[in-house]
Amino acid sequence: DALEELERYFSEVNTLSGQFIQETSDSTGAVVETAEGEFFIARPERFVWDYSLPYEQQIVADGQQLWVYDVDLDQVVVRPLGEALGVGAAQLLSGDIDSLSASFEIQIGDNDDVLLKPTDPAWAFQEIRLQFSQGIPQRMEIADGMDQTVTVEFEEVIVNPSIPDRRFEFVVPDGVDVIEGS
Amino acid sequence: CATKPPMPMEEQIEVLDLDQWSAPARPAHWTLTGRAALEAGDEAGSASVQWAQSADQYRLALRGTLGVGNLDLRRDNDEVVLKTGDGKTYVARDARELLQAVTGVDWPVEILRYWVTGHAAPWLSGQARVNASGQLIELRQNDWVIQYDRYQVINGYELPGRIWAEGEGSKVRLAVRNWTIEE
Repeated sequence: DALEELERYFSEVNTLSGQFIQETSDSTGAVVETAEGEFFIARPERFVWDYSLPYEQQIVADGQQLWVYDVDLDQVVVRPLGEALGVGAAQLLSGDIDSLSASFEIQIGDNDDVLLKPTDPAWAFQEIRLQFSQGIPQRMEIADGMDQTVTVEFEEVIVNPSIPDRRFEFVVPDGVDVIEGS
Repeated sequence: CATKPPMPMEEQIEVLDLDQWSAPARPAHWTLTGRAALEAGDEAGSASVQWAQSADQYRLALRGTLGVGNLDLRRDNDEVVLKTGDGKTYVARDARELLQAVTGVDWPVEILRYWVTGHAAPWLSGQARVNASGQLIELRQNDWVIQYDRYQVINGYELPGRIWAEGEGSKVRLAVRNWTIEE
């Protein structure tokens, strides 16, 4: 069942790469933004989540810090990875089952997906659903407290590819502002 | 006396007091979508932004990365309603105070609505720096400095593609992906 899939993911998958299509819909269900990009994951604690359309944003977790670079805005915000709850969903796939069950209540969702509810009250409004097949993530859905949802479809997923370490290193481009986020 | 070499064309900047500057036509009803970066104190983040403005009514939606940091701010007549990602709703009369109280970010939205289209807030004095082709490249009002570039013409209105506003310890940056003008 869905929980076995989750455990299988955390036991068999060490690295993962692929593309994603992300749809954001507002409280009426209307799609207000469609974005796409690529991702790389190396457990634990390293991932790259790069948006290419309709805007360019590079999110890199290098194991210690989380870098969020907004290309059009010439801005990089860097935070210690532990505090980077803003990308909780992406961090989810790069963590381990213990850290997951520490920060989420894990249940089986209604259409055989994994339903994750943050245990930290500050994030209690969020509900994350993860759909796997053969231990590979297919779909992630994040709902906020305003009935808005972000749905991420994973595509062309490669399990346990070899990914060079430098893929998870972030180099600050010149001419951008680097801000230490709290 | 040594004569200064003439500045190259694009650097010929004219500094004008606002009452001397003839601002371009300002659209009354517009919608922008793009990306916004906010920095206030040690709060910093970026989000997708959707902002629909018509006269004094507006609807501003900010959506952070992967569904975090969402915010919805509306003004209908003299009531401002703020909804935040955790499902809470706040009502007030002053949007700036409400936003600051709830999110800690100083977002002078009532003034920004003028700055964002490259115009001065009518009730504030200030200065405009205009380039040789008459485009506003910098505006100074209310201890804020607002810089503009990537102009584009939409329905006959010349509108900036990037707006960098900085003042009173806050920074707001907007990169507009598209402008829509409703006549």
